[in-house]
Amino acid sequence: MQVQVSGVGKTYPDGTRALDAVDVAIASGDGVVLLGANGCGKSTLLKCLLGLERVTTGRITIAGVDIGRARRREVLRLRRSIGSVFQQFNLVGNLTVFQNVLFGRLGSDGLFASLAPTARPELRDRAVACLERVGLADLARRRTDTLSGGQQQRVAFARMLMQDAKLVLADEPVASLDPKAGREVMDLLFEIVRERQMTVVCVLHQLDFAVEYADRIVGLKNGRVAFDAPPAALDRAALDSLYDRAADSASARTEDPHVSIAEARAAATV
Amino acid sequence: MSASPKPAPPPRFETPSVFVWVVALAFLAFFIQGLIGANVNLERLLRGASNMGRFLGEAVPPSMDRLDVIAWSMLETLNMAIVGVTFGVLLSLPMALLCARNTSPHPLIRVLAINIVATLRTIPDLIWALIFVVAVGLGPLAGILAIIMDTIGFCARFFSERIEEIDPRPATALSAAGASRGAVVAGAILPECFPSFVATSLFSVEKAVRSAVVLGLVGAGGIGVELTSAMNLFRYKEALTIILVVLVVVIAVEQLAGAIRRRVI
Repeated sequence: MQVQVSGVGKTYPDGTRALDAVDVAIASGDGVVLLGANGCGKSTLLKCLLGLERVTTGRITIAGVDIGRARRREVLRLRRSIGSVFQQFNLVGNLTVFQNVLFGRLGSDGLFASLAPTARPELRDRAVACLERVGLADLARRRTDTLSGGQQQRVAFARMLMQDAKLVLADEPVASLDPKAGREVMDLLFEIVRERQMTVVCVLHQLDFAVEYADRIVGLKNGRVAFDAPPAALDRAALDSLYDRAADSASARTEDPHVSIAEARAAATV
Repeated sequence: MSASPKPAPPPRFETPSVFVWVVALAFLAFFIQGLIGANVNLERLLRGASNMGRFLGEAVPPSMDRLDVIAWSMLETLNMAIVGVTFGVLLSLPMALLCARNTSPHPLIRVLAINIVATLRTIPDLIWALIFVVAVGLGPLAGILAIIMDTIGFCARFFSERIEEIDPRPATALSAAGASRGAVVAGAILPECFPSFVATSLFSVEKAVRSAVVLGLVGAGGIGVELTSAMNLFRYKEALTIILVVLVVVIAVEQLAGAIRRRVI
């Protein structure tokens, strides 16, 4: 799915200007990682892409649909093919894993087709297949809130597979996971994305992950695109400018372990 | 170090403000007027105690002659409570969705729904029963309708407060995947609220059993009818039986509801 963001600005009702003028064109099958300091507008941009927030100026077109001006029904139809991944997984905690996966069909098949007792056998089989893909088929009957964070994020991926998403919008998918679970989750996410040829836009704070998984890195600063290039081009100068650090400030670097790791990797790949 | 004067502790008692004086005086005036109005005095209290003794003397031992009739009307009381609460809870669900800030379709509808629920709650169940006895005649139907009204007033309010407390994130995820508003409510919001809804409904059952007993006093069916007629005919032995049966059943229902609640939450 193609995403076209042109001149997008977003001002919240309280006067906060989260996005100034963002221009990005994302081609089908692109793996984009969004970087930027806290408050640079990454999450706002993601919400605007989903149509959860309305843009103030400019326009966002996804697969030819202008989501700022489309009717609600059209937006709902578009959202069916957009999978979302959240920092806190956003699963319904006191339902089973199986039921949460089936909810991937809620948009396209409606309520009764997506409830575990009333779903058609094909959909139930598919839900099991999706759980198998993320390696959790044996946990199908467990209550979702009894799973670990990494497992819950994999359930969310299974829900996204069930949804048959073409575009994945991920908002800091590993922010609430430990490094080991974070790596497993990132590996799985990008495996799935690549094998299904999905387009992905992923907000990350971990620069080492960004450099490792992205085809292309888009850096936001003060509500504008400040960097847009393949990961190999993300050198120290670009990082310093993106995160507003003095170029030779050693203390700033040691405060943020992720940044120093990523710098090492970036230096190695250049 | 410069010797500064030692600061004095604050006074033991603050001088009351005008507001406190006004409230205290108004309360005192109301209290004294209430005592005088109800004609409370020691002589009446003593006489009351001896009358109570006479009632107990005549009532003990409780008579078991009409135990079967009493048991049947106790069953009718329980029936009224269960049927009334079931319909009340079913009607409370849509009402609560209209009342809750995060699910109400429009602010005006929300204000309207909140006021309807508040009205249902403010009118006591006994008055509902009086109204429905006029409308549908004597018998358990009037009691059931009164309990439905009372249950909506209670459950719709607590349901909607629970709905307003939900974690919005699962609902966001489902609407981000294209689910309609109704599907989001059924898929993310109601499942999260379910344990709390069950607990509230069980409280409602306890409340309804107690009020169903009293509703009979105005002719709305159940064991209250037996109790008033026993008292009016001075059949104190039978009245004591009824009171004991009510005691046992109410305690049993509360224990049972408590046990279920502990398992659900």
